[in-house]
Amino acid sequence: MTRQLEHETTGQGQTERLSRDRLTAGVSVGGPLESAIADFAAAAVRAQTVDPLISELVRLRCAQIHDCRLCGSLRVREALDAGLDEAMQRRIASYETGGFSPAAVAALKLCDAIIMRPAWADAGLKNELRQHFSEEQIAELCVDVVKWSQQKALVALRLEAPLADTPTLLTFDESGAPVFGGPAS
Amino acid sequence: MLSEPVKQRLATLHPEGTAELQRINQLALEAAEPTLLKLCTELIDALLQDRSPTLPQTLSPRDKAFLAFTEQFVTAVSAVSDEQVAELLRFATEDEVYSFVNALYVTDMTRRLDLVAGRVLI
Repeated sequence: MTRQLEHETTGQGQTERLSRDRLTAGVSVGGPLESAIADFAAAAVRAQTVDPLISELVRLRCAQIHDCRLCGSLRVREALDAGLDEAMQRRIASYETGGFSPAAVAALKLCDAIIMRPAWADAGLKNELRQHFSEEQIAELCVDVVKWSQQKALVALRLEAPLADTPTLLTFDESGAPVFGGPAS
Repeated sequence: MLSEPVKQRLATLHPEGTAELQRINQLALEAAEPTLLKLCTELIDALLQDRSPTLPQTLSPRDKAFLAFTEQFVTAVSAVSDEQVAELLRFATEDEVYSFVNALYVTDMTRRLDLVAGRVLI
């Protein structure tokens, strides 16, 4: 029976479902597919035509819907510099009434259409997006959502434990690779 | 894989990301057992397009385990259970399960992107 819990954790244990010791480096972990996924992720991150605060709201929305503990524990430095705070992070769950800009709401609706129900992408959403974003920016948001859903694989296997109990700073190097470091507050 | 119109549109608007996305889709096909991935891809397509999947009349216990996992992964990954992963491990090694789940991510999210980008960018 398929469970349709989109906004809450299951109460299931969150212990790792695969033994990392039994994964073979270069075959599964760090194998051709996983390495290429990292390259895709870096390419997504290098595109930076969208406001960093909106990008971060989309990233955190993906974390919330997928219940990714690692992603949910991270905060991107540029978004913090642009005004992201923990109160704002909590309002993402009810973003349509959360006091966000119309552009941010449109981006989050696009995110929901991709990760929850593609049928929600209709002419109304298309018009709403085009009021606030160029076509390049819409494409960037779409690719970002695919990138920020990368953790679905780790969530399914519960291999996405957060790095710390408090929010951790996330930055990216010039190649687009993630760099984790220090408390975000 | 992306449909041709969406691939062309995205390649114009986000060339680097689209090229890498095409590459991971190719590698996903090689990372999982092809017949099994094809079966699960049909289920993904059906779930995302609100239609019934076209599946073989006879499914092995292995097929059923991977299809059940796929359905939960697509519908709400947060609700995948310990038991569903344990069931996969009855039929596959840890490496195979890990690779399959990564291939499923690529397939699921590419199909979603194709459907949505086809509506908001074309």
